[in-house]
Amino acid sequence: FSFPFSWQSTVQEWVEEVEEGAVYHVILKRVQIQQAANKGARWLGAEGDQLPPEHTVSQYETCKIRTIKAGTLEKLVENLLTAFEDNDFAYTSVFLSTYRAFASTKEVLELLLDRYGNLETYEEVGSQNSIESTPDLRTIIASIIRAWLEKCSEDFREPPDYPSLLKLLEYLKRNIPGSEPERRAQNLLEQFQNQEVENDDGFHSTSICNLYDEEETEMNSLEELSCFPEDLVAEQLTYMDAELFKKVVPYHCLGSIWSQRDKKENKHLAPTIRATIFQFNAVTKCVVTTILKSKELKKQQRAKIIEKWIHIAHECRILKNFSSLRAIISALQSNSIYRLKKTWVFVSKDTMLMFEELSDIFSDHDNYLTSRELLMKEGTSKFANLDSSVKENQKRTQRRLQLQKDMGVMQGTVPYLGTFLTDLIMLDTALQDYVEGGLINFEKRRKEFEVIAQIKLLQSSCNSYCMTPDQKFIQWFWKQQHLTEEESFSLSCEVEAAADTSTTSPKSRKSMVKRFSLLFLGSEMIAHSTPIKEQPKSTPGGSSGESTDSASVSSCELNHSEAEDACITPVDVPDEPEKKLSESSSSSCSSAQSMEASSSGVSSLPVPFPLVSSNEKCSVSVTPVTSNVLPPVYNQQNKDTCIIRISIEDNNGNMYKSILLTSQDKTPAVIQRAMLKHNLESDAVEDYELAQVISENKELVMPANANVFYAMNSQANFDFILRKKASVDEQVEVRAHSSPLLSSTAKQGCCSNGKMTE
Amino acid sequence: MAQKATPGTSPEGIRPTYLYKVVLLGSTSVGKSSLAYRYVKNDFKESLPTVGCSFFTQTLNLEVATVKFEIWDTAGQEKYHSVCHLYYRGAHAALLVYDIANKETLNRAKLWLRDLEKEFLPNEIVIALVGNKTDLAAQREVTTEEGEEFARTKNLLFMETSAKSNHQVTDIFMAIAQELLRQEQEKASAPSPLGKSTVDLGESGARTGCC
Repeated sequence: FSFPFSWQSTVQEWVEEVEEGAVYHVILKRVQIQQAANKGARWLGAEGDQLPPEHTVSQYETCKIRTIKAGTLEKLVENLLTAFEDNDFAYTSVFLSTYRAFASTKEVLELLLDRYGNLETYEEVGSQNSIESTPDLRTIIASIIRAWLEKCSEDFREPPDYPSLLKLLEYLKRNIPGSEPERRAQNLLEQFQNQEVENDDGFHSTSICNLYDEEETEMNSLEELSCFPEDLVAEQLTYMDAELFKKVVPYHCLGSIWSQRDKKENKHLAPTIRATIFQFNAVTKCVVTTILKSKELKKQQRAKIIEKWIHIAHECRILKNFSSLRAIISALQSNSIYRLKKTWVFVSKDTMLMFEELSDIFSDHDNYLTSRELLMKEGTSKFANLDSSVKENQKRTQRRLQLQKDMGVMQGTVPYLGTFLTDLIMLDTALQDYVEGGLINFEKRRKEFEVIAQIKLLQSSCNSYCMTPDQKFIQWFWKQQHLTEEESFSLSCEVEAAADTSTTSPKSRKSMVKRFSLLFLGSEMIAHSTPIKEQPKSTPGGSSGESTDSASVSSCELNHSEAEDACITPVDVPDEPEKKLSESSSSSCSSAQSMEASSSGVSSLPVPFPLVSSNEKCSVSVTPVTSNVLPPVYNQQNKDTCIIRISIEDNNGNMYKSILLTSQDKTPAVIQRAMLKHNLESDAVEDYELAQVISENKELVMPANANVFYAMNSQANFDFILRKKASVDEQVEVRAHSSPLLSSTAKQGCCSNGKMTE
Repeated sequence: MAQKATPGTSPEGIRPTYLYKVVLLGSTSVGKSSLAYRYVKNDFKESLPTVGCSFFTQTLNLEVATVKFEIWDTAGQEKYHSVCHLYYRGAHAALLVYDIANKETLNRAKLWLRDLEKEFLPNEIVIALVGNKTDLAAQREVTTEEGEEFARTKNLLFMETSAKSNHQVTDIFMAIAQELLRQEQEKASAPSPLGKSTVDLGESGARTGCC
């Protein structure tokens, strides 16, 4: 495991300390000791050496850190009181955020207040250390309670009697009267009671739903969507998402709790998470519905709606709303929408590229590295930090960002929560709840807290959003009919009859030409743009935490992202700014020759992979031509797939690997697969390039981020070569005169495609 | 021929390497992630990415080939419908997991199968039906026969497992690997990809009526 909150300084020595009911990990290390200006901050925050510098006076010292690894519940509660002396500054946060996995609020409160918080016996508790270095027990208890009330107030929502909160209040009145925690507890109680009176369950989705008013005038969804400007839609979706996300109770996300949600007795478990998912699915359905609902629309009109959603998604990206962004993107990628090939043809090329860029954010490549990285980079930055490879989109983005900056509005970040949920379930699966001797495995909770802390940090960032609900939009949104998966698919088939979408139709071939030229243009622009990953890192100053507490959490987050960057960068697959298109010409390639090659290729074809999904099986079964869909084959592009052969340069040229290419595959992915097949995994993807061998001395180099399926010359043999890139100097020169050739090559390849399909 | 001529990284000589994406589908708490974790456990530390953990990899060195599994699990994200549907795109094999102590989960597995049937052609993906949690035999709601029968009608691999007691976990993944390789060979030897017959799983030897 490599986890983000690693100690930065050198660990000098460590031992395990075992005592009755607990196991500790003791390390000696050189650390920067800081005198926190605010003691509470040290208590509440994570590690002391990560506090913002202005809060501290620092010096280096060897210090002993004693952390509890496992223990009985009693020991874990007791440790709350001693963790500070042990230099385990994160303990309170970790415990409070995760104890619900192994104990109830009542149990912990009883132990804390009745056993360990009994102020008469406190000398005993603190007896291990010299009296002057031991903070006053009263102070310690007060800070624990304050942290609890502040960070995990939901723990005390126990209507109608609020036993835990009342118990706490009583304790505070008796032992620490007039204190801040007492006022806090009192306020919380009143707040809960008021909410109960209002019969408000505290979750926004219902209150949003309530806005839905039956008496509103009948609205046509399509007209209405066009009435709402893209930025308004994105802003309103973000408003709804942020409100729901802020209400997420972090411990609900713990694997042990979230994975129990479908048990019969747990119907109401984790309502705050369900609310965010409900919203996510509603956005997805809204996208699908608005696109499919009216059957009579012209393809151009429907394409306009698709474009609109892509632009809305882009606005969401600027607002750093990764939840709705993902919802929209996955809606557009869903079968019902994605299969509308003839409609997509009318989506402008800039918008199409925008869509591809946005889709790339959620590519599952490298464990969702892109989206995770983005989240970490932008989680606490004031503004989105994005770059587009398309000039038009770039301008648009800059305008929007400038506007944000001019208005001085900071943006929060809404994450897609699902990734966190999976991570937490994985952690829960992988790590034991109890260790030998039946002790609670607290190491597990520390690891879970790392994820929880990220969620909390992002929640606090959401306070920086400054948006007001637009009733008209919200009403419209909740009025959208929600089609089921089946309904949308059959609507989709009505809109574009299934058989029409096969490659043999002349119209779809036209679409290919268009798509191709679009891709080609796009890759040209990519060549001049700066890749996102090379953008300067967002400044840490953007942390929006108001309380000392959240400030300290965010500061460790930033360390996290830095540490991550350090280890991630080498495996990155950056866009190559110095992209090149080498000499290319295919006009010399006679069609007879390629026809021949194509047919021979089919007969002797070894298919290396089982066939990958074709999105429209339904469409195929309707096609009268064959009873079966054409499987991907070598030298022929069947709908979305084909087989290409890739050999490596220094390999005599006769050893090749067949690779299944789908219309979704971009150059880096294809290169990576080829490298894998050629056992070159140890090399970096970005050091290689892929070129189609057109003839003996002509080849077509795939632009570094092109869609290979469309970028390749479908007229020539589907033979490719994988090789190490040449030096930058050579490439630049080649690019200068190669582009027009590629363009004509490609178009020709596509236009004559019809001859090859049967 | 071509795909077999892998330059040998293995000491035995020339063996092809295949990479397969395997997805786990099923209701909440049927034990998807436990299965995945149990299967890759020995390599867990190595295979766990530095950030989060959405998939595991496992390499099988078989006699005829090296099979690399990329095992994807969206446990926790079942309720994000569109996301789940997208994630099985491009999969080579799917494990439809249900809990033998919860009949409802088998019904859900059947729905997942319907989704897969929409997305894939019969020969495009190897599907295994997995009845997990045989350690909960006392609370069994789905008989072995029922699972087996359903798998037979739908031409699925079938096995009952227990991630908890490590029962048949490796076996099911091995069965999938063999089935995938068998299909590779079939494709390689087929004179034309169009003339391929359907896979008769009954003869594959991978099916096991267990317990």
